[in-house]
Amino acid sequence: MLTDIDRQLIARVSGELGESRYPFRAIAEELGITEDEVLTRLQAYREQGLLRRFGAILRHQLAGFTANGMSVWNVPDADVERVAEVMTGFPEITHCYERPRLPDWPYNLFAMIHGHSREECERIAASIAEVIGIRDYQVLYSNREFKKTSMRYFS
Amino acid sequence: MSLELTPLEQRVLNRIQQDFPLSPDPYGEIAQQVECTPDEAYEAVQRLRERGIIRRIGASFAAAKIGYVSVLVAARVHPDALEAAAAVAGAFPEVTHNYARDGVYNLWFTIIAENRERIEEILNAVRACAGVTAVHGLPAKRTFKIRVAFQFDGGDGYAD
Repeated sequence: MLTDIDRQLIARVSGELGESRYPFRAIAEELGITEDEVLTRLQAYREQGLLRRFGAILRHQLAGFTANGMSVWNVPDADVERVAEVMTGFPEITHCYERPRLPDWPYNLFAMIHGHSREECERIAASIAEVIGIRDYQVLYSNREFKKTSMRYFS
Repeated sequence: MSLELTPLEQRVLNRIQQDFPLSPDPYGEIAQQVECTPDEAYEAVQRLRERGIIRRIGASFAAAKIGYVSVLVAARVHPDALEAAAAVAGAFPEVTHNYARDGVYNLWFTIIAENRERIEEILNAVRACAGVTAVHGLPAKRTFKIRVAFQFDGGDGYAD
């Protein structure tokens, strides 16, 4: 069960770390707890699987990864696990989820492809299709980004 | 777009993408691993932040494990109404990513909310927009991978 301090800490670190040379000390001071408590709690969240990652999030476009393609695949339900395993082995695939189909949407496996160009994303999707033996797929490119933020929990 | 990074900046980025040290002296730890002084490591990070290459340093939580519910939403919107519908969705703080994409469903956004009722409220707000003919929540049945890390070695390649 999360305590009030947990909620405050989660809200704080789901924002920006800040410019302090000793950032966790600064966060501890803001929250009125010790630095050791901040670090111990964060480690515990990590061990419990609450904290997936603590790190730097880059602007992909600036880093040269300008094409972001959402690939969607029509995979037989019984085959999803095997296919996902192959798919997630591709380093260009950053996210991979099984989702429900819709009446006019047969695709049940979603995988984000990051590449330097649409052509590169197409090549990656084609090689995945080759390996997994599934031909019914699409790669949907974003033509506009309206919003991209990180979730601020408990705030 | 070309990206000018010094070898030190590349090493620092590779080090802190997946894992920024949870330590009283994180920049000291980074410095040890990328072979520079703690001040150089600290300054490199601040520079990358100012240049906008680093969007944020912080935590990513498993939404479900801290009691939140998340969903990917597929919406079909008349092209002329797309911008207005996207603005309605994007105004909710729970909507974190919001894109127009080519295809039969042309507006895609993610929601992370405190409960299902709140998700339904947001979906209904978008359903009520002019030109919106379909809005479907597609919750993940299984998550196989979440990882975004790019290997910098002259700006090419990926980390695994």
